[in-house]
Amino acid sequence: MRAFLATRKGLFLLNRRRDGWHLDEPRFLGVNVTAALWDTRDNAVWAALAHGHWGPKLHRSADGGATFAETACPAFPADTGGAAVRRIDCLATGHDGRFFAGAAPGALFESRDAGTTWSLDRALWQRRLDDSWAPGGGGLMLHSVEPHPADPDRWHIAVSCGGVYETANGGESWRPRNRGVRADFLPESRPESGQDPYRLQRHPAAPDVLWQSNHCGLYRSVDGGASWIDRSHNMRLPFSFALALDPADPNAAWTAPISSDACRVAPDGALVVCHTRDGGESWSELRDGLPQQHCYDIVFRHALAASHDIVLFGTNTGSVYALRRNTPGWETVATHLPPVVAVGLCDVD
Amino acid sequence: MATVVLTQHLAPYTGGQRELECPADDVAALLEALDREMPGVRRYICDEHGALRRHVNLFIDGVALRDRVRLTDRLAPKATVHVLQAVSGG
Repeated sequence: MRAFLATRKGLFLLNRRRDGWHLDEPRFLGVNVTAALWDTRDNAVWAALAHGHWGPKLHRSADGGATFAETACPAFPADTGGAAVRRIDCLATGHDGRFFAGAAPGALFESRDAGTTWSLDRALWQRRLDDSWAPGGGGLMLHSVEPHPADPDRWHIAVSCGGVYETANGGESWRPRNRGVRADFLPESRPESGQDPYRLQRHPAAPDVLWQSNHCGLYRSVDGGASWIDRSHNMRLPFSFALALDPADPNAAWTAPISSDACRVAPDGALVVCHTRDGGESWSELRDGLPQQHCYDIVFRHALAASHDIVLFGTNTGSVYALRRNTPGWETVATHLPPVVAVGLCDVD
Repeated sequence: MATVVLTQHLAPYTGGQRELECPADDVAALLEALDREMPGVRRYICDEHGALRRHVNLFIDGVALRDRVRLTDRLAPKATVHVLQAVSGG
């Protein structure tokens, strides 16, 4: 099992061997790594950087993270009114060798040649203008791209704050997919768009099952995003950025709660992960092995991941914890790292 | 012939090279010539539309660049252009 930790000050690779987790020397030390992707199709590792001075960059490793080379970075065409890519917030793979990059301010780029060239999804860019998306605290983040595993022309995206959108024709047109999702910060509580999803995930084996953590709840859809039901009502701790799904069970998910939108610290000074096995009807709290006194860590939206064997997360204070499935307690993997922005698990050894 | 001097913070992206003489009448032409010699470096200094990045400063003989969007500031025949990181960038 391998894993990556994208942090505010570099990319760290983890290896799990029989004697535990091993942390490699950091790549891009000192540079903000805003997103990363492990492409299991060819064992390539992608890292999106945001230099403080030199702008966003994209790097690719063809050898599992041993060495990286800079590739072309998504860029706006000349006729988009001077819009410029500020940061890459997510990377995803699609069908037929496609790559997607979600970029601030609220743009989706696609590559069909392994990142050599990128093209802007102009239809979605126009929706941004027509639907008056508004940036959240982190800017206008297009943070989630979820391709359909069986339909090469269908994928969902999520924008904070714009909501969830779906294309069924390869990005030529888009429709909002926010029915049932609240936007308590707008005059109309349930608008067609403008919601604030924090993380969108599609279940790999049940593609009509989608989950989203959101500023106003934790939602699940069983009809491909056509409608959403808030599953946070039964949660004692309903506010979270991070979300991970169980690849073996579309009813199972994990979240990492935060006190509230107004007080973004660990609830009650204790780090906790919540787990459901019944589609969000009930939730258990997984605390064993996590700090339970004077802890104010939070988990960013991409910093929680699950595989068949492992649940892994990193915090904004650079602590990393892992849970071996069907064991009771969390194991401390690392401490004192830079703030962890994203984690990813890869079953390749 | 103008001389461009890059901050040492750009050296990792230019193979260590930091100084170059270029035939150029204005800053846009200078950075175009620079990019021919150090491929890709212009995208570190400018965004995709050619405007100077927000946290980059450029000085012509000690005077800050005026046109940060189109880079039309003229260069004297022996001008020295410094490309530096702005403190505002962290």
